[in-house]
Amino acid sequence: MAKPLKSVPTFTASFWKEIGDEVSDRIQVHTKSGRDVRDKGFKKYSTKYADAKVAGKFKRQSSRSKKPDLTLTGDMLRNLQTRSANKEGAIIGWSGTNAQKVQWNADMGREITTTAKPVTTKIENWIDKQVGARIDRNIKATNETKTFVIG
Amino acid sequence: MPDLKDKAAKEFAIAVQRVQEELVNQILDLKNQGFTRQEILLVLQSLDMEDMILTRLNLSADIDNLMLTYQGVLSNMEMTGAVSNEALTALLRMDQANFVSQAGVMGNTIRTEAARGILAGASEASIAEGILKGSGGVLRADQAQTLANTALNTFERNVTMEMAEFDPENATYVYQGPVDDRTRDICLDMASAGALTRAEIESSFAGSFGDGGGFNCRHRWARETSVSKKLTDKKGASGVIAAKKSQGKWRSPQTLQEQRG
Repeated sequence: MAKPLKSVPTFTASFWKEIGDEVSDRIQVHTKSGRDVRDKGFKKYSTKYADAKVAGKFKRQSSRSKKPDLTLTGDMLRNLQTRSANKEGAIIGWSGTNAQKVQWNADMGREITTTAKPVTTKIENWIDKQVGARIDRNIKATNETKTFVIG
Repeated sequence: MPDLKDKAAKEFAIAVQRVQEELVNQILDLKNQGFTRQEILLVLQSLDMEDMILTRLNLSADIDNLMLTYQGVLSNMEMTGAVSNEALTALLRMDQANFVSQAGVMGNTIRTEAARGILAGASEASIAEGILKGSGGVLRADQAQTLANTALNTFERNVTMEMAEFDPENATYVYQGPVDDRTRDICLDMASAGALTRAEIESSFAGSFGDGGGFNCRHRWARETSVSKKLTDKKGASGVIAAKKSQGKWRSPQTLQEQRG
């Protein structure tokens, strides 16, 4: 006898947490490469700031790159992490001061994420692939043919 | 760009400095009021230093302000599943209790140092200098700033720790952050360790999931992902450790929790 649709395993908070962590890291790597959410190079730093950064003039500095990598101490990008997860999905983001830094960068034309385009197309495709694979796996887990009555 | 966290840490440091100066001045003023050495010691003995600092010199208001910055960390978070609002509020209260208790310790240290100086017949200037420049174990302004900054960073690591409750037991974590000439030995040690489970981290680097490498640390344990290798530098850290060992500069580092015993 065919099992009802509701017996197909659903997503779990653990699955979405893992997706959230992976996406957070991928955004970090992409941003450090100097590209924004639309995969365009970040706007250049001001000469004064770039010179001070290259010279290592800042406290707790961890990057001396003149090319905009949105990394000075690294605190802001490292602060991007999964903030919540449940069986419906996960929320990733920044908190407090680091969230303000992200907004300030966006105001200056350097967008890591936007409401219209939260992640790069490459990351979006990766998420689609993971979700698709999990749906396939969940359906196979019931291990028998399903009969759906339509209409 | 305003950095609220740095601003909060600086303001707290200034407040600690102000409270210390006022307390020292009030103690030394007893002498000007005609109290004998013995009478001053008796007054000092009877003082509730925690109350003196928190209420009469009003450091509690500055601790409250610092806690408002913690609230800023929480404000952008949606609480679901294992991470409850209550759990994070409990962490906040524990940090607040820690600051309150440190205020008491600071007050007692100032009292002891002042009493020693008065007994030894030291000048007011040398007593005040000894206390306010930190030689007596009292917090200097830069130390207070580091303390507040570190507490805020630790609080954010606690958020990571709470979220890790969603991860399976065999999930592995890597130590993210820079490897450079400022990286302390314990952080090099953890960065060179590669991917570890929570149990392995706790066994080899006790307390580091929450504390990182200690004061002003720029690192954190993060779940291992397919791109973790691009965000960590295991090889670089191992190289620095080998170089330090060959130069005799390696000192078997410990985490904060291990140092506390």
